[in-house]
Amino acid sequence: MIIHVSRESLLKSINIADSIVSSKNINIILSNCLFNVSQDTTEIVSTDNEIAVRTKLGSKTDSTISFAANGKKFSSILKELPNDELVLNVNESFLIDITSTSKELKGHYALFGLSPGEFPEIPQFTDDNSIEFDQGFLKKMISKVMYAASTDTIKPVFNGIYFVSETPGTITSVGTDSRRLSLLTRSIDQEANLGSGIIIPLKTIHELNRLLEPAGTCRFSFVNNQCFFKIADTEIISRIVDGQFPNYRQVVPKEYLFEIEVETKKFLDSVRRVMIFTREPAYKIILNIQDNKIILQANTPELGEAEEEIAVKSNKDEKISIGINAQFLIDSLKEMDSEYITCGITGQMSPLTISPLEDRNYLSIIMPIQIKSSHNE
Amino acid sequence: MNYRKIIHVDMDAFYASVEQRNNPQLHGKPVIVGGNPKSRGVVASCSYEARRYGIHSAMASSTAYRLCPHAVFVNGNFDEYIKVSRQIRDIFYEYTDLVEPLSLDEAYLDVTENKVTCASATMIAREAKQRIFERTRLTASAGVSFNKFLAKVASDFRKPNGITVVTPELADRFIDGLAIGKFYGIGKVTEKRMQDLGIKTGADLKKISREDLTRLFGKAGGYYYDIAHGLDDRPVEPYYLRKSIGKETTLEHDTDDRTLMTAVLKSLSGKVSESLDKHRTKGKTVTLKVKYADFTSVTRSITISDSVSDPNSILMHAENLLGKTEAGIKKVRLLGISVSNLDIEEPEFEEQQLVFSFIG
Repeated sequence: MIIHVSRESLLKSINIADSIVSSKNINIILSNCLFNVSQDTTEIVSTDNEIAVRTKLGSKTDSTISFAANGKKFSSILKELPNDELVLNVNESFLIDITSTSKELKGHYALFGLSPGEFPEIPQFTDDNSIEFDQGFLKKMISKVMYAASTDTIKPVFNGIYFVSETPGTITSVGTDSRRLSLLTRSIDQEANLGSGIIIPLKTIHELNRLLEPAGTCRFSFVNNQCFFKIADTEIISRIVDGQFPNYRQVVPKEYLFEIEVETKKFLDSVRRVMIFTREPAYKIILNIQDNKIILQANTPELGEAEEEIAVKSNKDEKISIGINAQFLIDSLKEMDSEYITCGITGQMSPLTISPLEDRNYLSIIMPIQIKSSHNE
Repeated sequence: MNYRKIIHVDMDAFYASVEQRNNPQLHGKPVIVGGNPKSRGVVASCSYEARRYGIHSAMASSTAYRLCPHAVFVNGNFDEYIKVSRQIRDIFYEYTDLVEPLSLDEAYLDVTENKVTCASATMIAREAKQRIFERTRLTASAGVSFNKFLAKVASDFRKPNGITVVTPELADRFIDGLAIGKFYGIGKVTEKRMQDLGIKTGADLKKISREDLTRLFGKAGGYYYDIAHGLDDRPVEPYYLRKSIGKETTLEHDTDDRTLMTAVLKSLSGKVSESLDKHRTKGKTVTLKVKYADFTSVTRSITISDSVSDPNSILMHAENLLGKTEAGIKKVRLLGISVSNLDIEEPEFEEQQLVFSFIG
């Protein structure tokens, strides 16, 4: 049967679906995308058994057919074709013959497809109890905290972002890898019934972050151990991480020894330079805070040393030296989109809390590196 | 039945990969670590690029040169390999203390119980591989199974940078399909003999009774029978459990001079201490060995509550032990000191990343 479809839309949709396909999947069918073609729509489905993507695009044909095909190969050839309409001819043994209507190109490309038979059933989006979000809003809720989540899969609850409604009319997202934690609370103009909160796997979070646009709306719902997102023509269906998210409120300092105000960009640039003189995985730098300044130091045997001084505004005449992972500091500072930040200090062995100056609902908390007592003075 | 969870980690073309990592000019080139091609040396390790020419480790360097004249031959920097090996071993200790290093580039891990409370050995293997890569930029292959033999064969199954899991359910099928030469312990000669007997795969091996295998291959036959049936109960033996660290020296002349003996003990204590430090361990038992001029020998040992590794403590104990021998009354020919009952020294992280203490 013959399918007419725009090359650009098809390429875009295949790329969306294929992005979650793992080349290492043992199940051969899952290294493919499923194509469900009806008269005026093509639906492309993919899954790695933890997350599934279903995306739709317009196409024209006079019948219906389903087939599976390798998304990477399909997308590779489409990428190299001119942007003219495509004619796909799929025969009964699922051979996909791809022809460009371009007059510039004479070519023949036939991709071996597979029977869709073994492709697993993907749950449909359930609209029950769904919440409507502004895409830009959700994107911020995700992108502001995802850096702090653990990339280790050993402790699954850390390998995801936790969403919860702490008080009616608000939503909070939290990410932590147990060495740092990022937390963002925003108000919403509706009830978000998230129960005791849900943990969305980091892989799904990355997918969402890629798909969400600054404008437009999206819908979200969840049942049992699955959650659903509907973003424009794409649906994401994901497993919810099973398990209890740690009691994050308990590690948020309630009061500080003292606080300092720092110019965000200056601080960030300074940390970046000093960090060059550290080594992975600790990336240890020392922040010596006193007399309305921070002296940043790095000293690594057999590598070298660096020292920089920047002016700050302190609310008390205190001094302290804190060891900290420079990469963690950079990750946090990069997400602070205010000109100035405040740094709440609670001690040499207790967390450093960073917030935009005017926004205490966005917190980035970093545990220090225990340093030698010689720095104690 | 409760199965053990064993991981065998094998670095991919370890020495050659370290050389390529440290010298970007060697990237993508056939690199051979080992003897000079003009010498009678052999290939210790070679990069995957070199393997494409049919070069493999233990091959004569001259043969390797003939197969690939443009290969880069390097002498090898073992200090560097030891350094990287230690980095990798430290990663293993993040998961378990039951680590049995087989060489600088491979080790068994028993993660049945582990420090990260993770039930999945596969997850740990994947994670450890990732950490190795993050910290050393080197890749490893891992085999995960319920015994050492299968874990080791599995790690070789998808090289480089692979991971192969052989679950108890899969073991039979996995063994059946295994070429006989792949069985650990079956070398070239035995392989040939098996081939001649029509034993080409694990499935063939399985058909033969224990009696027949023992008749054909002696004691090893029993071992072949067991592994063909997925039976291998050898424990993962951490270095510190099975080793004592010791040094001994034969004196230039037999002597009854206690001052001279003390000097010898002092030197031995220094060497033992150095070796303990190198293995990052201490021990609770100090043993002195004395061989008299008449070739009879005695050992005296003391076990103390706090592990020692510093030369002065070892010397002090050794001297006390020497007093409990007939040294000086009888002439002494050889002196030796060893420290056993070793423990893994907790790496002293005076600088440690702190973590949140989430409770509840």
